Order: sequence, then C-alpha cells, then structure tokens
Amino acid sequence: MMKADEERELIELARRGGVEAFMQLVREHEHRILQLTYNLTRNREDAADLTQETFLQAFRAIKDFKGNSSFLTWLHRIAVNLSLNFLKKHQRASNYLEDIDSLEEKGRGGELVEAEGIPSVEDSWLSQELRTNLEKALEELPLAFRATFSLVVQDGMSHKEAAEVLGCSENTVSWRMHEARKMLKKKLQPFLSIE
Amino acid sequence: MRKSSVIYLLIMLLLASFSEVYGQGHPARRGRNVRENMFVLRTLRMTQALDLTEAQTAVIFPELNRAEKEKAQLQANLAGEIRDLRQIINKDKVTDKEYEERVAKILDLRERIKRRESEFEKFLFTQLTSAQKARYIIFDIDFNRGMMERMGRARLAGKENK
Amino acid sequence: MKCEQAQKLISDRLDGKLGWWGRKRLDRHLTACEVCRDYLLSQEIIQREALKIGEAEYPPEWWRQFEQALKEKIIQSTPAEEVIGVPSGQVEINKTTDKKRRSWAFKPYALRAVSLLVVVGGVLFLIIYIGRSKNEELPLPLVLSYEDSYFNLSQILAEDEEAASNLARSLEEAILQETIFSGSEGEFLDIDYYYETDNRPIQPEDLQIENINSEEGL
Repeated sequence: MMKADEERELIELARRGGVEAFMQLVREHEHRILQLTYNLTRNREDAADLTQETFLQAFRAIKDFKGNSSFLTWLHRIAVNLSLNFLKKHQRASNYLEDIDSLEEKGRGGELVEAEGIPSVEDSWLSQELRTNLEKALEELPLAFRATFSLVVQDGMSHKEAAEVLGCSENTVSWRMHEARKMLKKKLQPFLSIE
Repeated sequence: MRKSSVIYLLIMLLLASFSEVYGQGHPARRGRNVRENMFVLRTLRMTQALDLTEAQTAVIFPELNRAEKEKAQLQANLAGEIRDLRQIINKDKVTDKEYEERVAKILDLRERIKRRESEFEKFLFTQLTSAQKARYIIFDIDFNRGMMERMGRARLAGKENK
Repeated sequence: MKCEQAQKLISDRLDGKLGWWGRKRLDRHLTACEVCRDYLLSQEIIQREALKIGEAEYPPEWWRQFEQALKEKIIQSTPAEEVIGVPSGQVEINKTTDKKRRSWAFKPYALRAVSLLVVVGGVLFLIIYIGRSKNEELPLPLVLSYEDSYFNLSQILAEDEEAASNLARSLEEAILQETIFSGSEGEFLDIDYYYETDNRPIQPEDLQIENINSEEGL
C-alpha cells in the first residue's frame, strides 16, 4: 500500500500531466474501484468500462483535486456518480442470471475466475437460493440506498467515509443503511426463515 | 434531572399555552404537528449549540415563544392564502383586481414573517456574547440544512413504502 | 426501547458505529425481545451473504490489458502539450507545462467567467425551484432563513401527507434523543421509564394529525 506522501507526490506529478505517475495511482486503486462498479452494476463489461471512465475523468479533473478528501474517496465519488448515472440511463434489469451462466462457464475453463460466488456442492441449496435472491434484492434497491449499502457493507467503508463519497451527512448514511436493511429483510424473508 | 430535560419540560409548558395557535380550527386535534416539533427541536438544539445559561434562557424563552406564536399564525395564514391562490389561478372570471389583492396579501404576509424573524434575532443578539452570536449563525445554517435532509428522507421513506 | 429504535441500533452495530451506551441498551432490549433477536440474526445472515457475492477476481493479464488500454485513451484524449512522461515518438515531451505560454492566454479567465455564470445560475435555479422538486435527493438550501426553510418545507409536505407524517415522527424521535438518549455516561434515562411517568404516552394516531393540518399549513 502506498504511503501518503508518496501518493501526494504522484498526484502532483499527475496534475502537471504525468501519465506514468497517474498510472501508478491507477494500479494502487484499480481493484477497489472495479469492485465498486461491479457491486453496483453486476455486469463485468459495464464495470470495466465504468472503471476506465472513472480513471479517465479523474485524469482530466486532477488539476481540480484539492486534497480536502483522500484521493481514494475522490475516485470513489467519481465511480459512484458514473455508475448511478449509467444505471439510471439504462434501467438495467437484474443481471444475476447472466452472472450465474458465466459462473457455469468457469467450470469449463472460462477465462475469468470468480472467488466465493461459484456454487459448489459444499454450498447448501438454501444458502445459494438466499444469495441469488439477495443479489436480485440488492439490484432492486433504490439507487441511493444501493450505493450506500455497497460502499458500507461490500466496500467496508465507515459511515463517515461513505458520507464523504456520497456527498451527504453521516446521519443520512446511517438512516439509509437502516432502511436498506429493512427493505432487504422484507424481500428475503421467505429465504431467511428456512435458514 | 438533566438540563436538557428541564428545558424540554419548560418548552412544553410554554407550548401548552399556545395550543390555540397550533390547534386552530381543529378542536379534536391531539399531539404535536411538524411546526411544533421543529420548534421544540430547534430550541433544544439552539440551547445546546449556544450553551445558553439559565439566566439567558429565562430572558430569551418568553420572547422566543411570543415570536413563535406570531410567526406560526402568519405561516398558517400564508399557507391558506397560497392554497386559495392555487385554486383560482388561471380560472375564468377572476379579475385582475382580485389577483392583485391576493398577491399583495401574500407579499404582505411574507414581509411580516421576515420582519418578525428579524426582530427576534435582533433581540436575541442583545442577549448573546460575541462567541454565541457566531455559533448561532452556524447553528442556523446547519439546522435548516438538516431539516431539508430530514424531509428528503421522510419523502423517500414514503415512496419506498408504496 | 421500541423495536424500531432497537432495529436502527442493530443496523448501526453491524456497521461498527454503535458506542458503548448504545450497545448496552441494545443488549438489554435483546434479552427481552425475541422479535429483535430474530431481526439481528437475519441481518447478520444478509450481511455475511452480501460480503460473499460480487467478489470478482481478474487474472493479471486482464489487468495489464486494462491498464494499457486506459493509458492509450488518456494519451489520445489529452492535448499533447499537457502530457508528460510518455516515451518520445508518441508525443512530444514537455516537462514544464506551467511555464509554456499559451497563445490563448485569456482562456482561463473566460473559463472562470463561464464557471461563475453557471454557479450563479445554479444558485438561482435552486432558490426558485427548491420547493417544486420531485427528485429523490432534494437540493439543499443555501443560506435561507429558518422561516424561508420552513415555508419551502410546508409547501412540499402539503402535497405529501405520508411524508408529513414521517417527518413528524422523525422529529419526535429526534426530540426524544435530545432529551433522553444523549448525554454523558451515568446520566442515562430509560426510555420506557420516561414513558411510564408521562401523563399520556404518544399514540400512533397522534402522528396522523398532519393529514388534518396539511391544508392549514403545517
């Protein structure tokens, strides 16, 4: 992990047009940003495109980065805004079926490796049903709640960090998490009661 | 008993004397409405934000409640006028004169609300230290912003329950 | 403590946001409330499963291609004189862009003027249309007076009874928080005790009052 002053130097170089310096910053943060866009869009191609667009926009706007927040927070903000705009425009229906198909391809030597999402014989059928429906329920959350849940639970941010990314107060993040959890529980009740 | 609880009870006692404003036209009404709740919450938060002494609250609260009573009535009147205006706007048989009268009434009410608010703030500032005045400015902005956020959440919660 | 409040605390606890007092109060409620114990268990399961889904790993070769494509796009989309650190033959190297005089030196000033116009226009837009927005995220007021804020709020809520009810309830809870829940350790007052000593506990139908009042202004 990059040290703070090292990052500051790279940002300064990138501000002056340093592409290689910027690419070092990309390498430092690309995994997290891609994970975020994937959590939101649930589609690999879209996630990759949005991640690329995030870094492109970041390079163009880096002169305006004042350092009031951390660089990663700033990147998160760009990624969240791009992803939510994308989702609003495309009104994408649930992609979980596509992902399940691609997961089955995996077992036959597909190119991408999925971590714990592969249904295995060890996973109980009930747990897999829950996870499948949880993915669907997450996609059906209103965008602001979905973004908040993704940042806090899946990205591991504190309420304060998520509030910085989303441009709202900590209380709003806290409230959204509570409401999102209530909505998820309501949708998943049939699968939770038989766990 | 904690200071905030004492202040809360004091506010409730004072509010009880203004029930004719908040309950105007609705004798069957119970409980508190948004305006009342906002007033109580704002007063509690202001007391904490400015760290008012008991001596200050003893002087400020009566005037605060008087101002609140007048402004609540003016706001209720203003809301009524605007509701009426919405109903007649662009309808036939409404003369220019009637429009002019209604608009003048609304502008007058707005002016009176602003004036009363300004009067209270001028009075308040005669009772505060310089640091408290500065804290009041920040508190006012933060409270208004927080209230709009709270309303946004209330609207979202309503939509999600549908 | 009501279950709704306990469930909010459960959410905060799952996010690591709950302080010592909150945990104590929640634990006390949980020992007595099976509904909330089930709720906590359900949310722990959801949290655990949510962490498992969406963990995607991409092989190193994929990342190399991604970085290469990104770098090419950056170079293509950025004016040559603004790019440094790229091997010669592709783009001219300019290590001191800030010293180079641009023939269109007035452009930054023009940009600033345009930005200022946009900001002023945006401010006016927010002030004029703040009460009419139906979007999910309301634009925040700028430095409005309390009475101006209240007026905007009341106009919006006059058309949305459910929101008015939700807001009244939210304010009630906030008031209770201020008088009961907040404060230093050792000064905690049990909310149930507080309700028992009140003259009349708040009934749910009290909060429906907004339906009656909405026409008169809130």
